[in-house]
Amino acid sequence: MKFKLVSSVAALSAVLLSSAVAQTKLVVKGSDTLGAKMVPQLAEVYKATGNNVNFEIAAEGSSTCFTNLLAGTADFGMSSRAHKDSEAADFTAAGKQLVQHVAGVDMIAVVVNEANGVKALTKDQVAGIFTGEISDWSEVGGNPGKIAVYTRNTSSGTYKTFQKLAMGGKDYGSQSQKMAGNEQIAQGVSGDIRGIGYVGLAYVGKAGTAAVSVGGVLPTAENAKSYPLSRNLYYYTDGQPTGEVKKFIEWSTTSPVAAKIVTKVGFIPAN
Amino acid sequence: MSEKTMKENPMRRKKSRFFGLNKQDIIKYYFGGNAAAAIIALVLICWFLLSQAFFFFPNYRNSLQLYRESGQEYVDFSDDRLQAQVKISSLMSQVSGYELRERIGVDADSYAIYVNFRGLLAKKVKFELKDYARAREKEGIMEFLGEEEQNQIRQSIEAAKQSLENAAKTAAAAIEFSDIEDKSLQYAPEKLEFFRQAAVEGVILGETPESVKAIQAAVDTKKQKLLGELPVFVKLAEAQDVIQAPQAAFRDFITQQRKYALETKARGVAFKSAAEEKASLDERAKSATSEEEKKRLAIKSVRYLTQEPDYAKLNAPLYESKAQQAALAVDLLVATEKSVSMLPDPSELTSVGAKKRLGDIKKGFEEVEEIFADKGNEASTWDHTKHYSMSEAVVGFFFGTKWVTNSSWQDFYGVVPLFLGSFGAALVAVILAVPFAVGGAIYVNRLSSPMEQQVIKPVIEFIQAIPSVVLAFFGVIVLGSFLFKYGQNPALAWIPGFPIEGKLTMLNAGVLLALMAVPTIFTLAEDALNNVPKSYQEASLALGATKLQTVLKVILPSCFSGVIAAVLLGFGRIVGETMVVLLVMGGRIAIPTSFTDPAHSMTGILAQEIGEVDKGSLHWGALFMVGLVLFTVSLSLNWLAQTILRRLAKHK
Repeated sequence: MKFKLVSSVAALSAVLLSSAVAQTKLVVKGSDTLGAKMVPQLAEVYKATGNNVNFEIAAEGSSTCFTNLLAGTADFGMSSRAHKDSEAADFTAAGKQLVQHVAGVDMIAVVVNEANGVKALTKDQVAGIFTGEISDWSEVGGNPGKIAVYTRNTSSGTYKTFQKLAMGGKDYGSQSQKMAGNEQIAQGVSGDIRGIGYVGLAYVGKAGTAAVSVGGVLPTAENAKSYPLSRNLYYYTDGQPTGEVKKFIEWSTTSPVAAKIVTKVGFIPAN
Repeated sequence: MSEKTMKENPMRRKKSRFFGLNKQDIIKYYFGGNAAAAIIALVLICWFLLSQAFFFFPNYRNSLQLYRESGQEYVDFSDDRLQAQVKISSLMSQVSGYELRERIGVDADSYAIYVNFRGLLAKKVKFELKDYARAREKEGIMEFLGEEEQNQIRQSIEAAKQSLENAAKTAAAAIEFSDIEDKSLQYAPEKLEFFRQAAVEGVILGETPESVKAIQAAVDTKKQKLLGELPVFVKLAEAQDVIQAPQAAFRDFITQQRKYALETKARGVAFKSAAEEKASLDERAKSATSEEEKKRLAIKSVRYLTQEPDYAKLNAPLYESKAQQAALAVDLLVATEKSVSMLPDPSELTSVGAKKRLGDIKKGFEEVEEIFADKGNEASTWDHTKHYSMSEAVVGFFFGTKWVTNSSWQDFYGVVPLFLGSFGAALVAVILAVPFAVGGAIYVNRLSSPMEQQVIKPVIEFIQAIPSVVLAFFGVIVLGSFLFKYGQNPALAWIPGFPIEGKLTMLNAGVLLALMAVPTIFTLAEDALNNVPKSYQEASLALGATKLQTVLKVILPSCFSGVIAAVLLGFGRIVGETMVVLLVMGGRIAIPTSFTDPAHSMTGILAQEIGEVDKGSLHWGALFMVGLVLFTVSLSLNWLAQTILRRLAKHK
């Protein structure tokens, strides 16, 4: 009886110990663009392919990627924007080195109602429409009608990125309607023949909407390099990655399986 | 009787006491305490709002002062002029666009009609479409299969296609032009069969059929021909060239100046935050307990560079550019004037929209001249050292027409667009609700049978039980489409604001809010009617008045102020409503020009933005100021209603 108890306790602790030894934990922090779907799904498959790793993913915005890496509270970070000079300087000051890895490419597609005859806009026209300088479809060669502009709300990262990429940092026009998410924008545009908005690549092709070409380039995977409103997504590490971090980053940026997942969640693989 | 004798009195039952209070006292103080708690809560809420909003005006003033010091104000003087001028040039392209649309005729809309038809058809045959898509999925793996299996797959695809085609043909025959939601599209009635056929083809092919493409191509050729040959378009194009020519130079100039201003601002912001940090360190050093801590904080404080940026030096390029800026502005204005004089005569235009815009240009040009004079003057006398007064900041909040947050340039907090949005929707609601609610109250109270009373009253009061978010969903999905569909009817075009241009509008929100106001107004108005002494009615009936005469000429006048109070309370109830206005009103932060425009509201902006702001920031303070305005409005409405009710009670 006593022997049984002792042995079972021993067996239990052995199991616990072995799992604690073998399983590495990776703490990932940063952007919610990457952290919402892409990295969790990559992590899931990475684990399923026989890597004994536990992921702890916290997606609270790109800025937290750098603060956590600097403080040493993350193994690697995710960011939907490139680092600022000041952020790199912080690392140098602390005797560390910020290393950037391209995780994938995201495109912001400009969408209009499917029934709208306008299928191509120049970059200046896009800027003009969203800043409110251009207010009627007849000004960009469409059938006359007041343009209804749908944008994300101010807390969104895409709101800021679009402002920077497409509008040269100028403010949105006062006539724009602020929507809660990609889905709401797609819905607004599909129900409004005079509507225009922007959505992430994953939302292109929603019924009733059509993506327009910007500067002659359509937002499709092949055009990732030439599309003017595309942005890189990044992983960041403190120094050159080693061990399990290195393995994961290499796998997720080079393996065809990872590329498939990245494509499935609506982004474009790094290479 | 002394306490002692009371206790000893054997005739009295012994009472248990708690902290020297007997049961009656406890109950009394309990209720008294509840009333006091309500008052304390109200005072606390007022205090909380005031304390959070208190620093808004000084902070806003500081922010605007920096806006001036950094030279952004100066750049905006130029930008405002450019924007005003661009508006004219954009009206010119609209004149051309509207005229072109008119000359091309109904074919211009054929692509839109086709897409609408295809969409309607796809909805009707969605099961067949799905089957067809499923059958075609196997096409990809056909090459790996044997002959027989390939044939089988081909057959199943063919069968699915056939059934889709049959279903689509039958369904298409039922589609009419009137099914299209957007009533602004024009069509030739005899083309109905053509569009039905095109929709069937489009659904099966999954792409635009050749017949529609051919029309599009024809429209394009016609367009090019008209633009190149018709004198009116040639004239317009020449005028556009003239007006647009100097824009690029001015735009480049502004872009350059923006860079200077942004850099100066960044320095100013850095200085301000460093100075604040330093001040807080010094403060902490003063109150530090240990000598060591004091030293440590002092060293830290010295490290902060708090050299105020030399604004005069940083702004030097802006001051130097004053002459260039004035010269560029003159070019711009001269070109605008010349271009306006080159425009064709209204009689040469056929489109109503184009004529209207041509008139707008003439009117707008006078405004542009004014703006150029004003802003040019302000730019030439601009001085970054001029003090930005507190009253300007206060006026800027209460009468400001711009609410711009999270800007990479400058935030502006002007409450007017939000106030008008809230107020407008509530006004629409009250106008719609009053006839129903007051009429209902009169009917139930004076004219109906007891049976009807027992049904109508609970039903109307039941509306109050519908959660506002459910009403909002109803507004987004059902009412929006309904109003949009029927609001485009040309028969309504005489009403200002019609035809409706979108689904999420103030009207939509107003209708839903009316639904929420009806129970409040109804219940209170009925109470007021109830309070009319019975003798009034009896006297009136005894004098030979009919029931209706009695109600309209005797009862209603005598409780009129009660009804007004009911309406005011109903108004107060919906001004504070959030969910409906947030989801249904369209979220556009601009001054609405008619009640069918989208708008934003004070309650909506609070709900939307409070989650994303840093505590204690300027934006935070602005939101609390909005809250305070809202609170004041509701409070004064309630106060007004209660005063009216008190007066009514006194008269009796």
